[in-house]
Amino acid sequence: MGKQGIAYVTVTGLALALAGCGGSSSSSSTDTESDSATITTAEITLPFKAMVGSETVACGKSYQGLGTASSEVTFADFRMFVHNIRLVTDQGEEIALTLDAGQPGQNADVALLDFRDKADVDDNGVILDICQSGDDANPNFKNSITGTVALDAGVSVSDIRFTIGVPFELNHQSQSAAEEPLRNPGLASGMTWNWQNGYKFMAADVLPTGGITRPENPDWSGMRWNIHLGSTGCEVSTSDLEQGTAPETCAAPNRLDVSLPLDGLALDNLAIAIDYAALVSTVNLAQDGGGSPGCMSFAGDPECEKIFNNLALPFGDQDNAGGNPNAVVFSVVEG
Amino acid sequence: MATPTQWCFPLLKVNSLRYRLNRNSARVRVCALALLLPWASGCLDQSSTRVDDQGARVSSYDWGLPDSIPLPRVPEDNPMTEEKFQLGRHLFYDARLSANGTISCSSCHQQDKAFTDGKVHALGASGQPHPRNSQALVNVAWNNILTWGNPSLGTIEKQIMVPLYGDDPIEHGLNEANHEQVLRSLQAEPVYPPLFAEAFPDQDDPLYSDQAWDNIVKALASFVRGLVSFDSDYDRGELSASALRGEKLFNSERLECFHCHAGYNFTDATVDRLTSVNQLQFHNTGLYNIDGLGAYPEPNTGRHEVTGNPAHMGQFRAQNLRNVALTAPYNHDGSVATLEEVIRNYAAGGRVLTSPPNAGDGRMNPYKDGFITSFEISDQEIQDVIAFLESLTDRNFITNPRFSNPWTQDSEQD
Repeated sequence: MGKQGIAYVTVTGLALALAGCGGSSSSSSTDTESDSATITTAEITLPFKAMVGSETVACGKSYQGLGTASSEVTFADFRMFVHNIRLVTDQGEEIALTLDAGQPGQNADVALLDFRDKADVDDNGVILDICQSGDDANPNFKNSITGTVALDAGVSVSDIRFTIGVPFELNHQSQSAAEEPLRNPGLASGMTWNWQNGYKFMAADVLPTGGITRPENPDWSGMRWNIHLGSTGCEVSTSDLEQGTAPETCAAPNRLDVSLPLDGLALDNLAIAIDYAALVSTVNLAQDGGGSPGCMSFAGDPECEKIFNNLALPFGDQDNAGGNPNAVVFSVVEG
Repeated sequence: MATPTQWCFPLLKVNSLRYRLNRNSARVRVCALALLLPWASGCLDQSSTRVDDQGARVSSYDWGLPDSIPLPRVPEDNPMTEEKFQLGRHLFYDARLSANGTISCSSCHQQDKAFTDGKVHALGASGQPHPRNSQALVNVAWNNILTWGNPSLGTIEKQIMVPLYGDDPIEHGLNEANHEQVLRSLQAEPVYPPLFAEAFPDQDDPLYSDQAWDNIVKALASFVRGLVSFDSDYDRGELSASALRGEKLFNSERLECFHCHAGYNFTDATVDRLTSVNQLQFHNTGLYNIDGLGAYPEPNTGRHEVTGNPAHMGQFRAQNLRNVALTAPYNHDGSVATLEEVIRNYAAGGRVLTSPPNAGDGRMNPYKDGFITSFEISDQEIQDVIAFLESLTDRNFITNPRFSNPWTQDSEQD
């Protein structure tokens, strides 16, 4: 594969067979004899890397120098829902990745990335804890998304786009009856946000060494500095109550659309990195200004102003277009 | 099987309800609504001339309602059955349904107190105090808002996930690291397999399949939905002279109570199968004003907590007043000890707090509801209003063995 994007040459018949092959650890395609075929269906496995600067996120490990107070933290949670993955051609055309619903942690609509590598699992396979204790592998760990994409022969892919969050039409349905990874109890446990009637789109929670204080309230102390991204202001509407029970709209959808240039990296040789250090680079992880500790997406939450700016998400009357150029939270890196 | 004629015979009663609605010019909307209601389908199939009865009185489940009360709405995917109610009753009183076996629904929702707990703030499984006062569970099936101030929860089923799985605050404390163990402890209880089988007869393995948790939630919701109270002195028309005077005051333009505490459940947060216009109603009653700009103390900012809309600051649901004499302390945060204090706050047009941490003049809250003005009221009149509120106490509700703890031998029922 060349450095100038990826070119697929293929035979249609073979391509369809490929769609079902599964288990590949990287993108694959066929390039064979024919010049008459124009489209290939390629299976792609897209790796994601949760990072703290140049270090990979791991449970039980300490990370130093984070945020404006140069805090030391360990991770308590790091998960996010991803949907709407698209490859963008050098002509600007978006080509959707069809998620492989047979893969663990994803269905046809959405995938749940779970960067917590460790768990405490008993002899019966029952999970007793995830990330904060235990040396067993977390059975729900997931750092890649697999799907298929149909590409015209000779097309160059220049960018990749995806949305962090749960699609609206799935965000407010019954969680106890939902298809995985949206089921609670199930893979979505801990990622539900019931008081807002939906899911946390992203949870990045840390335990700062020394805890958290509130400058204006010396009696208050906290342990866990959370980032919970999700839709807020989701009121059930009048018509919903006559016909159903789900909110009709949310005041702040907070779905984060990410668009990244491949910078010449081949699709089978790249990963999408999310850098926690950049995400919290402008906040003080030893303090909380009010509301729940950290940023819970709520319109009045003081920590969210900077977190949302780093994510280039609108917050209140800030449109945050372009985000914070000094905080590169998402990037494409070599796989 | 009933013949079509017999099947529809009870619906004749509905006509009187329908005609009442017609007098309110609601007929067009009512008829249109009927097409949306699954409960109407039985008669739609069998008699095309009765499309607008809405099935308001049709249910295979015995709700035990007086004729004047329309049936509540029930989610299509969780119709009421006696078997689900009974399973839900066992789960409601089962502390195994918590992180450490210490908390059941009944810990904070006690029958003798109309399913509240008498505390200002209840403690969850981890000892964390809940910022809100425990809700009474009285005729919840008719509520269109299911907590003190959350406009995003449309069904009891969704609400139940909050105490079970919520982490801020932790109530039952269920999470991804303990739900399997909790389910196993329920599976190990020999009482449950037959109860699950009877409640979910269409499923092969309702306690062991991946539907088990959904079944638990649906059964709990069915029990809560079945907690029905319409048998007070007021319902029987047995009011004392003082209570009668109190009723007149309650419904007077001087006190204005009846605007928000409206209808048969004494709350404007009511919806039933005859409701044609359903609007979520929240009210700021001037309890706080900590910054002079209307702020309520965090995290209890009410509807605002969910919507972030500044105009929603301090807005909470009007409480159902049935059994209210049993549910002290009062208001969303339990900060008002007695009904007399509640009435005096309203008489003052809001509450004035002079000492920290929440000092402020609630009377001047800019988001205060227009009906919270102020009114003159004598001590005797306050006692009369309290007598009226006490007439809403349903002794049968708080002693009914149907609603009691099924795990204790002394509460054998049926």
